[in-house]
Amino acid sequence: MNLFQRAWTVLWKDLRIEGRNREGLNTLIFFSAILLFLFHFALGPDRTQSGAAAGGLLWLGFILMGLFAMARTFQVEREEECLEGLRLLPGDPGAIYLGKVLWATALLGFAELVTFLLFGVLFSVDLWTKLLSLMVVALLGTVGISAVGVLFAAMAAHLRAREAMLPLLFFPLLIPVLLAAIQLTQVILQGGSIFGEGHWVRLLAVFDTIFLVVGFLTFTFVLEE
Amino acid sequence: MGHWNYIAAAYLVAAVTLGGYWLSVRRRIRRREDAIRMAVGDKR
Amino acid sequence: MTFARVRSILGILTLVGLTAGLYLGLIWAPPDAYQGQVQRIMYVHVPTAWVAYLAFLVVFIFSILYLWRGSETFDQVAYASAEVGVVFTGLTILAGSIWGKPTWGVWWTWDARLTTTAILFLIYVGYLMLRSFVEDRSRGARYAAVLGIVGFLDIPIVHKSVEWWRTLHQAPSVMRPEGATVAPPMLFTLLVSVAAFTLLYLYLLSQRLHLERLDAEILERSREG
Repeated sequence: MNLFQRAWTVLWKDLRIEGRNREGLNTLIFFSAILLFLFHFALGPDRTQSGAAAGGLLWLGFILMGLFAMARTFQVEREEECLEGLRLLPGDPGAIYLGKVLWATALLGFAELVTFLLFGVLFSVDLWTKLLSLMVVALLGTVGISAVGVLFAAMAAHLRAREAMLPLLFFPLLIPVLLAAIQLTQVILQGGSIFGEGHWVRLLAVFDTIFLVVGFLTFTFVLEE
Repeated sequence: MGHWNYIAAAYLVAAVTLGGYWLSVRRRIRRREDAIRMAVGDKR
Repeated sequence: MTFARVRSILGILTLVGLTAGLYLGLIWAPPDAYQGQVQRIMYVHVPTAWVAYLAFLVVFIFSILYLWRGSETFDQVAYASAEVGVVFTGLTILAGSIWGKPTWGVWWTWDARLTTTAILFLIYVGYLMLRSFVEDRSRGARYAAVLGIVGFLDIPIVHKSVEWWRTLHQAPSVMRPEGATVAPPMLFTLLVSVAAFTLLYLYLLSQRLHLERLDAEILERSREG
């Protein structure tokens, strides 16, 4: 099996687990619905105010959902000593990393899509024409969140106070992703195009590439017993 | 003219921070050295 | 014994350098044409910032070396440098803030460099916490090395994103501390201060490394006994 087949095996395994109980997706979607309600209460009934803050609030929500999704990617493995089995996967552990990043991106990406739709309905924003570019930005940002997040989520098993440590470790690292994604989302929501903001898109792409490569290369040291 | 109090504050903060850090490292070193010396003494 | 001699020679050189820096910075150098006397804070602020970045570069290099070669010495250098770096980063922010009050009129401004330094501080405080929150020593070293690599690669991206973010949200215009023309005597003073603080960094690093070695020795003895 080559690298991508092995990564696919890991992804497929997680997809099937999720397909059986849908724990991750259900929690994430419920979480995002609650967040949207809280946003509304935090901002008050004034529509102009919620429009100006929407990009920032959505991404604050996404990064919190990301925290939950990351914790989940390896929590599944800790139960029943599954990590031991995963280590037996032949070849470079980088494949496990890629599989987990793909899985986290898929899970989060789907939850983000639902969040956008809910946001459109609850805040009566016409999103249909913007949904595609919103999702492009969301996926670019989510790959970055996952590339860094999976690396630290894998460490969490051996970390004291891991609930507090995970956000402490990866929120500061994710600040560039957050700034770029918020800016792009805001531009799209106000009717602009991401092509006018090429430098932010490039920043996201560079971030994703660098940390996918670093994560892939260093994951073996994280997984080592 | 001059804001000398700000200058004094900046240099003092630097001295206290770095000096304090230096002292803390020295103190930790001394504690380890004592521990090692005691361990060696026990063996004899 | 030779290490002890290196440490004491470094200590003496540092003392001489810092004394010279103090004299040049507080007495010999002329006051700045625009800022007046308060510009003398630069001779503390700029060297500490330089040392902070240098220290994290050292963490980055020795983290790679540790993961590559697995020698404990590399890890000890990385750990020692991270701790010293955090102290200098904190000091950079403090001195910058004290400088900011009389020149900008505020203790804090969301200037790109200031904000990047603050984020840097958060990342490397996370590094130190990560080390103390993992029970197993070699595992903690591996995790920290991964963070040491990821964190350093993140710095330029953080800086770029914060810079773009700031041009977008026009803050009240601030006087760039380094914007003013630097007269030759001031440049000379600055160079001496940078050299003195670099010596101080090396001295503190060597002391901290000595501490790390003593720790390793105690661990060794307790295993034997």
